[in-house]
Amino acid sequence: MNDVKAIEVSHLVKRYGSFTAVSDISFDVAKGEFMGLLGPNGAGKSTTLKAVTGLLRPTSGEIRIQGVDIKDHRKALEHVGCVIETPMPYGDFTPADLLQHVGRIYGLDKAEIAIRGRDVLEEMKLWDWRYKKIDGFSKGMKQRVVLAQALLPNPDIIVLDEPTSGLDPRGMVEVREILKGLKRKDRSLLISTHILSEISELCGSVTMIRDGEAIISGDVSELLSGSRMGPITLEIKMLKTIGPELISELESSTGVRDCERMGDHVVKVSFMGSSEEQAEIVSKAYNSGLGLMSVNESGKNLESLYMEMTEEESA
Amino acid sequence: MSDLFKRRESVPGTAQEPAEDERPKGTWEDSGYRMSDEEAHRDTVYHIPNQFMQVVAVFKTQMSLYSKRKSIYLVLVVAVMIPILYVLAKDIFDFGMVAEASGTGLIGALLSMLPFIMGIFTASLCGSVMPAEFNDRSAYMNMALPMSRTAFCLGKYLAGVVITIGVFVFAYGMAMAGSLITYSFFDEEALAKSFTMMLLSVLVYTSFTFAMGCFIKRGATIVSFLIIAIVLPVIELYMFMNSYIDMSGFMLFPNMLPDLACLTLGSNISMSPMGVLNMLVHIVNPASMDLLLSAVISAAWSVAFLVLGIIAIERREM
Repeated sequence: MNDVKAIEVSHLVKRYGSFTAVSDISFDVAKGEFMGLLGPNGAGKSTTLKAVTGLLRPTSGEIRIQGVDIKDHRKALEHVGCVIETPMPYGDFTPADLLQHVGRIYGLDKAEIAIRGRDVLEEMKLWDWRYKKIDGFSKGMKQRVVLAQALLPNPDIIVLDEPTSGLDPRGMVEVREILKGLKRKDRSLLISTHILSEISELCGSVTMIRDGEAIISGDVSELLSGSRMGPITLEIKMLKTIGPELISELESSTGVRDCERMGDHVVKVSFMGSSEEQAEIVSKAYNSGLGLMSVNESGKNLESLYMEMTEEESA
Repeated sequence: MSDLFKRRESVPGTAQEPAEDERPKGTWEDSGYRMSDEEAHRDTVYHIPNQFMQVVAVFKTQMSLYSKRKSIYLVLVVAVMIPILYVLAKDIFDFGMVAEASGTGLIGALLSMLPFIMGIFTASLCGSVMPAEFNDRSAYMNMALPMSRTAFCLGKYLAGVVITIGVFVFAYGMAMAGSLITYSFFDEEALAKSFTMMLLSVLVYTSFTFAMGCFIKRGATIVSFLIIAIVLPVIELYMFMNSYIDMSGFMLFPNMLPDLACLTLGSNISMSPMGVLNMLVHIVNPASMDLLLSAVISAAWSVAFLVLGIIAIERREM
């Protein structure tokens, strides 16, 4: 039972008439894994999440939650908390009312709802608002109420569709911290977002979707070190003034595409090559006698991978 | 409002509560429940309840939502006004013109708005419940919960039925109170028959309007009201007047039940196309109707529309 995946999506297809929203997407989320779904608007992220949570029926393919087919909706979602399409909770209800409703559905008794309810409301900074009507809340507060109901049963799996949309910067950071806390508790997360930093900050793996197809999927660090990546930039900072000798020595190194002096002490090296070749560049800087202060690497991140993928799309 | 987090009476033998700033955050303490930290631990394994309990959960939630709706209180106020209006009007209006001069007949006269209110009330209450879920997007939350859509629909529907029955039982009570001002005797058999018809008509109207709400995304309230209170009666009257159906067949249409509930009491009028026409040409004789057959048809109608509505929601893609 230990190797049962939290979420398994196999060959998921969703068609609306002649339009294919999702075409043969497969991925799985292991227990304790945080996976991000990334892609431009209309790529099929929300459709995928709706299929995962039983809000729509796949045209074909199979979805299993903890080994249970999503067709058995009740059993499959027993330990799942979700926020899909930013639902608006009942405006006449207070957060306390709403948590009571959701808790009853999950089979929590009144005491458990009170205990867990306080936890999530405090986490979401809504404790002082627990008896206020949701109608009067801002969009960000409503979003936090919805997140609170998803986290109420302390579920094993959390499925979130753009959970920080509508939140102010502080709210976004707070929600991310809450989600990081779930990671420490060995929960599994499937999240779709446009915010790349959210994925790179939270997720160990990512599936990029474009035009309903999964174009890339896997471990974030493995993807970033993959051969498809473009050049990276090494920003080398020296203690003494950089002379033309070091510049020409760096330019002659294998894998270096461009070398640009930025003031007296900094040189930017555009590089694409192996780790050994990269180490050689750093060692040349170190051995130059100018006093190597720091080397910063940039460009090898999720953003560049995403841009690369979406550029291919527009091309 | 939920009393979920309200502090309970302190439990004898337990330690004194710490001051607000000393109380650990995120624990059970403020709820005041008699529970150890271990028992209250947030990682306690839970199991979803059976379908029946989930229906009950949705029912409770929907009742709570209904309790915040002003339209229900408005209808209750109208019901309370029945005896008051009677007292004010009895000396200037001849109720004998619209009903038999008896206690039961007066109840019928006082309830003559029943068909209209039944239509508009159930349409606004049950016809709007599912569209509101989708328009307000709360369905995205509810239908992603570990609960079948059938249980969700049943809970919502039953809440509508219970509220509607409650409101109309109250209206009957008020009409009886009004009648008691002048009369001290009721025809219990006619009253029981009328009451049964009212209960059946609640099932008929709630299931129809609920189903309409499941099919129609916008405007379900007005559409379901127009169909059940205007279009269907007009078609049925047309069929009857042109002898496509006879009197016994005519009275078996379930949507006629609120009218028949009034007319059974001895009233000559009810606020509906059929009621108005009946006042002019006296076409309906409720005494001749087969209540058992009518009950069977009403039950079949109610189940059919409820099932249709549930199927529509089950098949709905979000």
